[in-house]
Amino acid sequence: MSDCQKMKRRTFLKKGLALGVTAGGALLSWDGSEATASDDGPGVPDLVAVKNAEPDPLLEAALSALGGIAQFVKPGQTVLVKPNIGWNRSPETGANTNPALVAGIVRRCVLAGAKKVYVFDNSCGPGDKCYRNSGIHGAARSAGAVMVPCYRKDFVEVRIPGAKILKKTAVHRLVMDSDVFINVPVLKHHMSTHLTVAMKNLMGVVWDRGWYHGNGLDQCIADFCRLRKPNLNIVDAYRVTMANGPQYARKEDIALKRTLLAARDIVTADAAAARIFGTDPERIEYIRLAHLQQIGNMDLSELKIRKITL
Amino acid sequence: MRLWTLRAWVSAAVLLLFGFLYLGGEKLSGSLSGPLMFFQFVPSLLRQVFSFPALSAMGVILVLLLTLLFGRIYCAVLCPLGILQDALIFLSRRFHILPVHRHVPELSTIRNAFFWVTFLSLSFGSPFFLNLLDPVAIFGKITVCFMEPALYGAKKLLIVFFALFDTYPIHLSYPWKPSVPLVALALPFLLAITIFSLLAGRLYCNSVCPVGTLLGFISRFSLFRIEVDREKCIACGRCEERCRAGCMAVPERAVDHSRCTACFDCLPACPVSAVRFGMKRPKAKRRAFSISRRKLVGAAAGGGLLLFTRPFAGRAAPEKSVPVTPPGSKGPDRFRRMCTACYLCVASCPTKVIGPAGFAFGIEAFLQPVMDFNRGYCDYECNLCGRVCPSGAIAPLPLEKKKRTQIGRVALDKKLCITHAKKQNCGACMEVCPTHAVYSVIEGKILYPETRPDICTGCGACQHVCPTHPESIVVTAGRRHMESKPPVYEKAPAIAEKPDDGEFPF
Repeated sequence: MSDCQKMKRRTFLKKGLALGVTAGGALLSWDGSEATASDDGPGVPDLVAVKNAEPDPLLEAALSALGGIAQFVKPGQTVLVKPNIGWNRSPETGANTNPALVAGIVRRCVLAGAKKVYVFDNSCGPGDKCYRNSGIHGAARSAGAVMVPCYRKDFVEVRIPGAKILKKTAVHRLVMDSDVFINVPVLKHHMSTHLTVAMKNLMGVVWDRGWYHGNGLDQCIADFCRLRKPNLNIVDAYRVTMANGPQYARKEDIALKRTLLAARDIVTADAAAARIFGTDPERIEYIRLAHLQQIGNMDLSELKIRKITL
Repeated sequence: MRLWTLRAWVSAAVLLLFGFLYLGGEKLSGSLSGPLMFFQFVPSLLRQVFSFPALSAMGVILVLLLTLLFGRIYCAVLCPLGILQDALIFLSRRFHILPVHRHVPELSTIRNAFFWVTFLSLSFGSPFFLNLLDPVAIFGKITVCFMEPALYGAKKLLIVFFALFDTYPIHLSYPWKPSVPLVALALPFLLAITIFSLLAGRLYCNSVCPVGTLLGFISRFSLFRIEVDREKCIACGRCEERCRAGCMAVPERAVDHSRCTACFDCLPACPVSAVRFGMKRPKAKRRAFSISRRKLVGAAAGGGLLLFTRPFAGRAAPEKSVPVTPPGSKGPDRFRRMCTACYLCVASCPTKVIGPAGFAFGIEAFLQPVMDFNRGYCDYECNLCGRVCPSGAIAPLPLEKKKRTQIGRVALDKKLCITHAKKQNCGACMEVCPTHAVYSVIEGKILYPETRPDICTGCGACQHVCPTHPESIVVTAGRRHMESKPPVYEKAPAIAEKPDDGEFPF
């Protein structure tokens, strides 16, 4: 069943609830100040953008706008939360997803009744150091997640129907087996692709990411999204590496944007993130290809966007 | 506590510590290397020779003194290969494989031949025999070749076990791969050591090991030694059966002190307590095993020569076959002279880039490790190899200095590069470069890799991830390790053209 059909059904059934949520969301704030919000009319938004707060309040606002975590996680389900834990760098460098954000997501999944919440990434650097020094190991575990290192035996061969280049690959079984798949990338400049966000983050669930580099990087990134689209993409734009990414940027390259984006459509999430970064989604080849090949929608003007400033 | 019990427990502890040193991970390797390797003869000797006088290399002097006072204690409780043999002997006795030994004559020709060949080749600048025969080096290679994969396999089993409880405390960051040159080196030694110890006790230590031979020259005169009280001795032969060095001869009631490896097992074996560990008796006759004074003076002079004339002029390796050596080695020529091939750097390297060279760099480098970017890359945030190297072949570098040490320079072959040759985006190299020595230049939709060799540290991350075969981007070896220029950073990239004005951009 496509994401499009799911969205229409949901919108139809929950129009009334959405109206109430929209009204409530406008008044939502953690620090007592007035939150401002705007959106394009009733119904659950396709994209939520929140700014001006710490990761947890940003997350709370975004999830409320989408109908709450219960829209995504039902009691008894297994959840895979996939952050960016690619690099052996500390949280202030913005090279990995903000650990407070990961912890916030894990905590809410547990409260929503998830049976298990798993967190992993097939890091670019040494796995144990990346997990720990990024702060995600500690934060996620405290929140109740199971941190899973990457072992070759856990990656299963899959075919990707409709793919142009990446016709098959070895993907972590958690991607195939988990009931819920939440993608939590961090927005950064990237030397190889201009930008890394939600779609590129999924390079961390396959065993042989190097194959993408050698066989058409942008098309492979787009192709992979056909396999299993995340139920939700939450983009960490709290600290955004504006230059010299993905790994060794300077302090002055990091912009504290204190922003968070949430979307079901992975291409939408990337397109919005590109705009936040300051560029046009068209310029990012894998976004352009994914839109062209109808893997998702990058045209933000067509979509219902909810903007919240806390 | 009895001497033989003390010896057994101390040597067991040292062997266990060596196990942790080689296999225990970064923190353990880093902290154990100093204390354990301080007393290791060959590494300490090399360190002393090359940085004479070195306080940090007093171990070799202390071992010589120890031997002069108490005999070959080094061989009993400090040498990991010796303790390994003792462990095998213990097992063979416990399981009654071949528990009884005999007195054997000294194989002095073989013994001296190995020693002099090692010494002379070292004097003429070749560490080949030293690397081959140093007991720590042999132990190291056996451990890396056999114990490391065994541990890796055990970890995999533990992972499966823990997975049953849905918990995953163990990471397997870098896969273990077998290496043919390493097996070719380690297996014959493991077989030889095992067979020799099971059949003939410490035969290796007394007929091949140059350290054993050198210490044997000295232990002949040790102040304290095994003595047999001729009055009490009833010539039952039990001490001879027990002696794993084959150095006790019952008919003559004599002990060859050059071969006694100080295990002290003969003490409790004697039913009438005729064997004791005590001070040298002035009138003891050692004629059966005495060595001519000339040979002794020659050995002493040779030792002196070794220490004070620094004969390691060394021949530089030919240009074509220059390997990349770890940061801290200051260059392959210096590394080649000082490396004892103990493989501790190979065992501890967290990214497994240091590995056996095979024949790629000639027969002499065959035994010594090199940086192999097919195996791994050098982690920018790591300086472990210099901290564990016992001889100083890899000198310890503070991390900030290591990040500016250029062990090699990046070279990009644009004809082989996917992006330059086929106009297809790849970028694997640019992504991983820690200094931006490899960086991207944008032309339309393509991001082309370009290089700045001056700021390259030679870490090999780019070569390691390059998807083409042969790799289009490689690290070429640096003859002498220079300081690299500081990393370069780009200003904000052209694509971030719309500055943040505080409003949502959609």
